[in-house]
Amino acid sequence: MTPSIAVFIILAAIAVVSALNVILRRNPVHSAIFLAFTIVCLAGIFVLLNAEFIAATEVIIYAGAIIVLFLFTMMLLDVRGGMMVHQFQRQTGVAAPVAILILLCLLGVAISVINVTGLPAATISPGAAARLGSVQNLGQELYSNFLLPFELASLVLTVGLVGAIGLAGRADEDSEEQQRIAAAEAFDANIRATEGGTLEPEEGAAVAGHHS
Amino acid sequence: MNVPLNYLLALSAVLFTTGLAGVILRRNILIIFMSIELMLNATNLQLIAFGRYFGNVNGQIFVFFVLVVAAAEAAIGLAIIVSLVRNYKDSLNGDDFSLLKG
Repeated sequence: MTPSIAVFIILAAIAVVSALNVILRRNPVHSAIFLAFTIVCLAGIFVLLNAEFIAATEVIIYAGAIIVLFLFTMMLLDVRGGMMVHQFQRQTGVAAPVAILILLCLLGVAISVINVTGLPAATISPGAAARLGSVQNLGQELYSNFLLPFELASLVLTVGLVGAIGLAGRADEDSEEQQRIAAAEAFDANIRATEGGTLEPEEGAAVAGHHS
Repeated sequence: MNVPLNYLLALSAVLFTTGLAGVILRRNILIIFMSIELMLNATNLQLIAFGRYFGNVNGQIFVFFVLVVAAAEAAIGLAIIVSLVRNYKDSLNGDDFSLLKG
Protein backbone atom coordinates (compact mmCIF):
# COMPACT_ATOMS: atom_id res chain seq x y z
CA MET A 1 0.00 0.00 0.00
CA THR A 2 1.52 3.28 -1.06
CA PRO A 3 1.49 6.24 1.36
CA SER A 4 -1.04 8.16 -0.71
CA ILE A 5 -3.52 5.28 -0.55
CA ALA A 6 -3.06 5.08 3.22
CA VAL A 7 -3.67 8.83 3.56
CA PHE A 8 -6.70 8.52 1.29
CA ILE A 9 -8.19 5.74 3.40
CA ILE A 10 -7.72 7.69 6.63
CA LEU A 11 -9.26 10.86 5.14
CA ALA A 12 -12.10 8.88 3.57
CA ALA A 13 -12.91 7.15 6.87
CA ILE A 14 -13.05 10.48 8.73
CA ALA A 15 -15.16 11.99 5.93
CA VAL A 16 -17.69 9.14 5.96
CA VAL A 17 -18.01 9.07 9.76
CA SER A 18 -18.47 12.86 9.82
CA ALA A 19 -21.04 12.68 7.02
CA LEU A 20 -23.03 10.08 8.95
CA ASN A 21 -22.86 12.33 12.01
CA VAL A 22 -24.21 15.21 9.90
CA ILE A 23 -27.43 13.36 9.20
CA LEU A 24 -27.77 11.53 12.53
CA ARG A 25 -27.13 14.29 15.07
CA ARG A 26 -30.09 15.83 16.83
CA ASN A 27 -28.51 19.26 17.22
CA PRO A 28 -28.01 21.11 13.89
CA VAL A 29 -24.99 22.95 15.31
CA HIS A 30 -23.19 19.63 15.74
CA SER A 31 -24.20 18.71 12.19
CA ALA A 32 -22.65 21.91 10.86
CA ILE A 33 -19.38 21.22 12.68
CA PHE A 34 -19.26 17.67 11.32
CA LEU A 35 -20.01 18.99 7.83
CA ALA A 36 -16.92 21.19 8.21
CA PHE A 37 -14.91 18.08 9.13
CA THR A 38 -16.15 16.31 5.99
CA ILE A 39 -15.24 19.31 3.83
CA VAL A 40 -11.73 19.53 5.24
CA CYS A 41 -11.15 15.81 4.64
CA LEU A 42 -12.44 16.15 1.08
CA ALA A 43 -10.05 19.06 0.55
CA GLY A 44 -7.21 16.78 1.69
CA ILE A 45 -8.29 14.21 -0.89
CA PHE A 46 -8.35 16.96 -3.54
CA VAL A 47 -4.73 17.73 -2.68
CA LEU A 48 -3.92 14.05 -3.20
CA LEU A 49 -5.49 14.38 -6.66
CA ASN A 50 -3.31 17.37 -7.67
CA ALA A 51 -6.11 19.89 -7.26
CA GLU A 52 -4.46 22.24 -4.77
CA PHE A 53 -6.25 25.41 -5.82
CA ILE A 54 -9.67 23.74 -5.69
CA ALA A 55 -8.80 22.29 -2.26
CA ALA A 56 -7.99 25.75 -0.93
CA THR A 57 -11.13 27.20 -2.52
CA GLU A 58 -13.23 24.41 -1.05
CA VAL A 59 -11.98 25.09 2.48
CA ILE A 60 -12.37 28.85 2.11
CA ILE A 61 -15.84 28.80 0.56
CA TYR A 62 -17.38 25.83 2.36
CA ALA A 63 -15.74 25.77 5.78
CA GLY A 64 -15.13 29.50 5.82
CA ALA A 65 -18.30 30.92 4.31
CA ILE A 66 -21.14 28.42 3.97
CA ILE A 67 -20.75 26.69 7.36
CA VAL A 68 -20.40 30.06 9.07
CA LEU A 69 -23.54 31.19 7.26
CA PHE A 70 -25.32 28.09 8.60
CA LEU A 71 -24.12 28.84 12.13
CA PHE A 72 -25.26 32.47 11.85
CA THR A 73 -28.67 31.29 10.68
CA MET A 74 -28.93 28.94 13.64
CA MET A 75 -28.01 31.83 15.89
CA LEU A 76 -30.88 33.87 14.44
CA LEU A 77 -33.43 31.06 14.63
CA ASP A 78 -34.61 29.12 17.63
CA VAL A 79 -32.72 25.89 17.07
CA ARG A 80 -33.97 24.35 20.29
CA GLY A 81 -37.52 24.55 18.98
CA GLY A 82 -36.42 22.51 15.99
CA MET A 83 -34.81 19.93 18.23
CA MET A 84 -38.13 19.18 19.89
CA VAL A 85 -39.72 17.64 16.78
CA HIS A 86 -39.22 14.02 15.88
CA GLN A 87 -35.90 13.66 14.14
CA PHE A 88 -36.99 11.43 11.30
CA GLN A 89 -39.80 11.51 8.79
CA ARG A 90 -42.74 9.17 8.91
CA GLN A 91 -41.57 7.53 5.68
CA THR A 92 -38.31 6.34 7.26
CA GLY A 93 -39.32 2.69 6.95
CA VAL A 94 -39.57 3.03 3.17
CA ALA A 95 -36.93 5.68 2.60
CA ALA A 96 -34.06 3.96 4.40
CA PRO A 97 -34.20 0.78 2.25
CA VAL A 98 -34.47 2.93 -0.87
CA ALA A 99 -31.36 4.87 0.17
CA ILE A 100 -29.48 1.64 0.82
CA LEU A 101 -30.56 0.30 -2.58
CA ILE A 102 -29.29 3.45 -4.31
CA LEU A 103 -26.03 3.14 -2.37
CA LEU A 104 -25.60 -0.44 -3.56
CA CYS A 105 -26.27 0.59 -7.18
CA LEU A 106 -23.74 3.43 -7.01
CA LEU A 107 -21.16 1.26 -5.28
CA GLY A 108 -21.62 -1.44 -7.89
CA VAL A 109 -20.99 1.10 -10.65
CA ALA A 110 -18.01 2.56 -8.79
CA ILE A 111 -16.34 -0.79 -8.25
CA SER A 112 -16.92 -2.16 -11.73
CA VAL A 113 -16.52 1.09 -13.69
CA ILE A 114 -13.31 0.07 -15.41
CA ASN A 115 -14.56 -3.35 -16.39
CA VAL A 116 -17.93 -2.19 -17.65
CA THR A 117 -17.02 0.82 -19.74
CA GLY A 118 -13.45 -0.08 -20.67
CA LEU A 119 -12.09 3.35 -19.82
CA PRO A 120 -8.54 3.93 -21.06
CA ALA A 121 -5.95 3.61 -18.33
CA ALA A 122 -4.51 6.77 -16.84
CA THR A 123 -1.32 7.44 -18.77
CA ILE A 124 -0.43 10.97 -17.74
CA SER A 125 3.07 11.53 -16.42
CA PRO A 126 3.64 12.72 -12.82
CA GLY A 127 4.94 16.04 -14.13
CA ALA A 128 1.81 16.67 -16.20
CA ALA A 129 -0.34 15.64 -13.22
CA ALA A 130 1.45 18.13 -10.96
CA ARG A 131 0.88 20.90 -13.50
CA LEU A 132 -2.80 19.94 -13.85
CA GLY A 133 -4.20 21.77 -10.82
CA SER A 134 -1.74 24.64 -10.68
CA VAL A 135 -3.16 28.14 -10.40
CA GLN A 136 -1.45 29.09 -13.66
CA ASN A 137 -3.05 26.26 -15.59
CA LEU A 138 -6.49 26.85 -14.07
CA GLY A 139 -6.32 30.58 -14.59
CA GLN A 140 -5.27 30.25 -18.19
CA GLU A 141 -8.15 27.89 -18.88
CA LEU A 142 -10.63 30.02 -16.95
CA TYR A 143 -9.76 33.24 -18.77
CA SER A 144 -9.57 31.76 -22.26
CA ASN A 145 -11.94 28.87 -22.86
CA PHE A 146 -14.30 29.52 -19.94
CA LEU A 147 -14.42 33.31 -19.99
CA LEU A 148 -18.16 33.63 -20.55
CA PRO A 149 -19.11 31.11 -17.82
CA PHE A 150 -16.68 32.88 -15.50
CA GLU A 151 -18.42 36.21 -16.06
CA LEU A 152 -21.80 34.53 -15.68
CA ALA A 153 -20.60 33.16 -12.34
CA SER A 154 -20.14 36.72 -11.10
CA LEU A 155 -23.67 37.48 -12.27
CA VAL A 156 -24.97 34.44 -10.36
CA LEU A 157 -23.23 35.63 -7.21
CA THR A 158 -24.66 39.14 -7.60
CA VAL A 159 -28.18 37.79 -8.09
CA GLY A 160 -27.69 35.55 -5.06
CA LEU A 161 -26.59 38.51 -2.95
CA VAL A 162 -29.52 40.67 -4.03
CA GLY A 163 -31.97 37.79 -3.57
CA ALA A 164 -30.70 36.97 -0.10
CA ILE A 165 -30.97 40.60 1.03
CA GLY A 166 -34.41 40.91 -0.54
CA LEU A 167 -35.70 37.74 1.09
CA ALA A 168 -34.24 38.07 4.56
CA GLY A 169 -34.28 41.84 4.83
CA ARG A 170 -37.91 42.43 3.97
CA ALA A 171 -39.18 40.61 7.04
CA ASP A 172 -37.64 43.17 9.35
CA GLU A 173 -38.99 46.16 7.45
CA ASP A 174 -42.48 44.69 7.48
CA SER A 175 -42.49 44.04 11.19
CA GLU A 176 -41.09 47.51 11.87
CA GLU A 177 -43.77 49.03 9.68
CA GLN A 178 -46.46 47.07 11.50
CA GLN A 179 -45.07 48.11 14.86
CA ARG A 180 -45.09 51.74 13.73
CA ILE A 181 -48.69 51.48 12.55
CA ALA A 182 -49.75 49.80 15.79
CA ALA A 183 -48.02 52.48 17.85
CA ALA A 184 -49.67 55.23 15.81
CA GLU A 185 -53.10 53.63 16.22
CA ALA A 186 -52.58 53.28 19.96
CA PHE A 187 -51.55 56.95 20.14
CA ASP A 188 -54.60 57.94 18.10
CA ALA A 189 -56.93 55.94 20.31
CA ASN A 190 -55.35 57.47 23.37
CA ILE A 191 -55.88 61.01 22.01
CA ARG A 192 -59.48 60.22 21.15
CA ALA A 193 -60.15 58.76 24.57
CA THR A 194 -58.77 61.84 26.36
CA GLU A 195 -60.43 64.40 24.04
CA GLY A 196 -63.90 62.91 23.93
CA GLY A 197 -63.65 60.84 20.73
CA THR A 198 -65.51 63.37 18.52
CA LEU A 199 -62.60 64.31 16.33
CA GLU A 200 -63.52 62.52 13.13
CA PRO A 201 -67.23 63.40 12.79
CA GLU A 202 -66.48 67.09 13.26
CA GLU A 203 -63.76 66.97 10.70
CA GLY A 204 -65.98 65.07 8.27
CA ALA A 205 -68.74 67.70 8.65
CA ALA A 206 -66.27 70.54 8.15
CA VAL A 207 -64.90 68.95 5.00
CA ALA A 208 -68.39 68.27 3.65
CA GLY A 209 -69.44 71.84 4.29
CA HIS A 210 -66.38 73.15 2.63
CA HIS A 211 -67.04 71.14 -0.47
CA SER A 212 -70.65 72.21 -0.84
CA MET B 1 -2.59 7.58 -10.55
CA ASN B 2 -1.73 6.86 -6.96
CA VAL B 3 -5.25 6.42 -5.64
CA PRO B 4 -7.34 4.06 -7.77
CA LEU B 5 -10.36 5.59 -9.46
CA ASN B 6 -12.62 2.94 -7.95
CA TYR B 7 -11.80 4.01 -4.39
CA LEU B 8 -12.65 7.61 -5.18
CA LEU B 9 -15.91 6.71 -6.88
CA ALA B 10 -16.86 4.46 -3.96
CA LEU B 11 -16.23 7.28 -1.46
CA SER B 12 -18.23 9.64 -3.66
CA ALA B 13 -21.10 7.13 -3.80
CA VAL B 14 -21.13 6.75 -0.01
CA LEU B 15 -21.10 10.51 0.58
CA PHE B 16 -23.81 11.10 -2.02
CA THR B 17 -26.06 8.44 -0.54
CA THR B 18 -25.49 9.82 2.95
CA GLY B 19 -26.66 13.22 1.73
CA LEU B 20 -29.62 11.66 -0.04
CA ALA B 21 -30.59 9.77 3.12
CA GLY B 22 -30.36 13.00 5.07
CA VAL B 23 -32.71 14.71 2.63
CA ILE B 24 -35.34 11.98 2.61
CA LEU B 25 -35.11 10.97 6.28
CA ARG B 26 -34.68 14.11 8.35
CA ARG B 27 -37.33 16.64 9.31
CA ASN B 28 -35.15 19.57 10.32
CA ILE B 29 -34.90 21.85 7.28
CA LEU B 30 -31.43 23.07 8.26
CA ILE B 31 -30.10 19.50 8.26
CA ILE B 32 -31.84 18.80 4.95
CA PHE B 33 -30.02 21.80 3.52
CA MET B 34 -26.68 20.57 4.88
CA SER B 35 -27.34 17.18 3.30
CA ILE B 36 -27.75 18.92 -0.06
CA GLU B 37 -24.31 20.46 0.43
CA LEU B 38 -22.99 16.98 1.17
CA MET B 39 -24.39 15.69 -2.13
CA LEU B 40 -22.83 18.60 -4.02
CA ASN B 41 -19.47 17.75 -2.49
CA ALA B 42 -19.76 14.12 -3.50
CA THR B 43 -20.22 15.21 -7.11
CA ASN B 44 -17.25 17.57 -6.76
CA LEU B 45 -15.07 14.66 -5.69
CA GLN B 46 -16.22 12.64 -8.68
CA LEU B 47 -15.50 15.48 -11.13
CA ILE B 48 -12.00 15.96 -9.76
CA ALA B 49 -11.33 12.22 -9.74
CA PHE B 50 -12.29 11.86 -13.40
CA GLY B 51 -10.41 15.02 -14.33
CA ARG B 52 -7.27 13.65 -12.70
CA TYR B 53 -7.85 10.28 -14.33
CA PHE B 54 -7.99 11.72 -17.83
CA GLY B 55 -5.39 14.43 -17.19
CA ASN B 56 -7.91 17.12 -18.05
CA VAL B 57 -8.32 20.39 -16.19
CA ASN B 58 -11.97 20.82 -17.19
CA GLY B 59 -13.12 18.77 -14.19
CA GLN B 60 -11.54 21.25 -11.82
CA ILE B 61 -13.03 24.19 -13.72
CA PHE B 62 -16.43 22.61 -13.35
CA VAL B 63 -15.91 22.15 -9.60
CA PHE B 64 -15.08 25.85 -9.43
CA PHE B 65 -18.45 26.72 -10.96
CA VAL B 66 -20.22 24.24 -8.68
CA LEU B 67 -18.66 26.07 -5.72
CA VAL B 68 -19.95 29.39 -7.06
CA VAL B 69 -23.47 28.04 -7.46
CA ALA B 70 -23.30 26.37 -4.03
CA ALA B 71 -22.36 29.66 -2.40
CA ALA B 72 -25.25 31.51 -4.06
CA GLU B 73 -27.59 28.63 -3.26
CA ALA B 74 -26.61 28.58 0.41
CA ALA B 75 -27.13 32.34 0.73
CA ILE B 76 -30.57 32.27 -0.91
CA GLY B 77 -31.68 29.03 0.75
CA LEU B 78 -30.78 30.22 4.22
CA ALA B 79 -32.48 33.55 3.53
CA ILE B 80 -35.62 31.65 2.53
CA ILE B 81 -35.42 29.54 5.70
CA VAL B 82 -34.97 32.62 7.91
CA SER B 83 -37.85 34.36 6.17
CA LEU B 84 -40.11 31.29 6.44
CA VAL B 85 -39.41 30.62 10.09
CA ARG B 86 -39.80 34.25 11.10
CA ASN B 87 -42.89 35.21 9.12
CA TYR B 88 -44.84 32.09 8.42
CA LYS B 89 -44.45 29.53 11.16
CA ASP B 90 -42.16 29.45 14.12
CA SER B 91 -40.85 25.97 13.35
CA LEU B 92 -37.91 24.22 11.76
CA ASN B 93 -39.91 21.13 10.81
CA GLY B 94 -40.04 20.72 7.03
CA ASP B 95 -43.50 19.14 7.21
CA ASP B 96 -44.98 22.37 8.55
CA PHE B 97 -44.28 24.24 5.34
CA SER B 98 -46.95 22.68 3.15
CA LEU B 99 -48.50 25.85 1.70
CA LEU B 100 -47.42 24.94 -1.83
CA LYS B 101 -48.57 21.33 -1.63
CA GLY B 102 -50.53 20.41 -4.73
